[in-house]
Amino acid sequence: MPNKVLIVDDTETMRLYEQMLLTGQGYEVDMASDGVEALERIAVKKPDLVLLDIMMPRMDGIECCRRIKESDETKDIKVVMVTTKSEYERVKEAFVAGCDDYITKPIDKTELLTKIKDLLKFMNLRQLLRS
Amino acid sequence: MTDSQPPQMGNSEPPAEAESDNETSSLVQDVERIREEFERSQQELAEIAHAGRGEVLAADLVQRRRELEDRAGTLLVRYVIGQRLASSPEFSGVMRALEEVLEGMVGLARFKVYWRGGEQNDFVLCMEFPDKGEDLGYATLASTGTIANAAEQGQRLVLSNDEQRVAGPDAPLCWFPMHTGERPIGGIAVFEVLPHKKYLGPSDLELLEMISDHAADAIAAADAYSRKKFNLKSFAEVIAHGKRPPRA
Repeated sequence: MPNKVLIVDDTETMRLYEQMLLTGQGYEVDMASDGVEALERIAVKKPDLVLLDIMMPRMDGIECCRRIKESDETKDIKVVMVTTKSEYERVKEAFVAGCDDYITKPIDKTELLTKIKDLLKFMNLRQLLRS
Repeated sequence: MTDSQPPQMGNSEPPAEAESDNETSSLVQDVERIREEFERSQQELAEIAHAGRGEVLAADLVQRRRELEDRAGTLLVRYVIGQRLASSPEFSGVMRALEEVLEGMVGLARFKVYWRGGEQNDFVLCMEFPDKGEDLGYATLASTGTIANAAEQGQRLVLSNDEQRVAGPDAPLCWFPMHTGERPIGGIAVFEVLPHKKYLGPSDLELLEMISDHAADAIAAADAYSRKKFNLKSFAEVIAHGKRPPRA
């Protein structure tokens, strides 16, 4: 069963890049363009990991992360924040909100794939043992 | 947003009703070539993975896989950039795509885009990032100086950090010209990179070269399309018509 990743970014370029990168690696990918839409998508199909841009309209990544981590139903979803250095101070807020890791733009594909794989490793092992 | 399908790399349809067909078709053909090469590399990677299943891969296959992964990564970036720049026939769409690509894919923090569309055939400022939300008005590139000379000659210019410091706070780090045929028609002036990036390396410069080539085709097509569709008489009107609210 492929792991499910939700890509949340208000820029079409980043959504396209992340989608193609991750589907090429066998992940099942869903997409949202802001925090509000992300929460709606999570309610429909719960992902294993969310790749979350910080600066977005309607609801930013920090608030979205906080809501994901506050809910018992979604708190085990892994969250990776995507940021530019100018937003670095906000990464501290993201960790307070409960994010599991972060990555800076421009995204290094090896770094991103490694972070995702590491975050999902334990979850996958647990599922394997249960099955 | 919907659930994803496997990457639909074949959806690079040409902008509708673009009058400047030569520029549009050139860009679309480039994107198509990149897509085909990317898919070939993915196919070969899948074959190597299948051959190595349950076995230790031979050293030459390990090396080949590494080369293919590097190449596929580069091709993916180039495909995304080309696809985005070819995705909209309208000037505002091209500017948004260019902004996203320069910030998100290259890592630029401050830049300006100029296009030779002024009444005096001068280089008019058509996009500035970060977007201050102000009307760009009719700002043009200075007519004298190192950058002006490079712009007029259609030459690339890259300053070292020290050279930029000497040239002054408003001097760009580099200038990447845009051409139609041999004629310099515009350029991208880079002033700052994202702080964690520190500098532009050889692969960044190569990427900027590619972006400026694609951007030239996309802007030329969007200019022609916008003038025809919205009955605009000058490039200043095209810029004003395409002005969109700054990103949140």
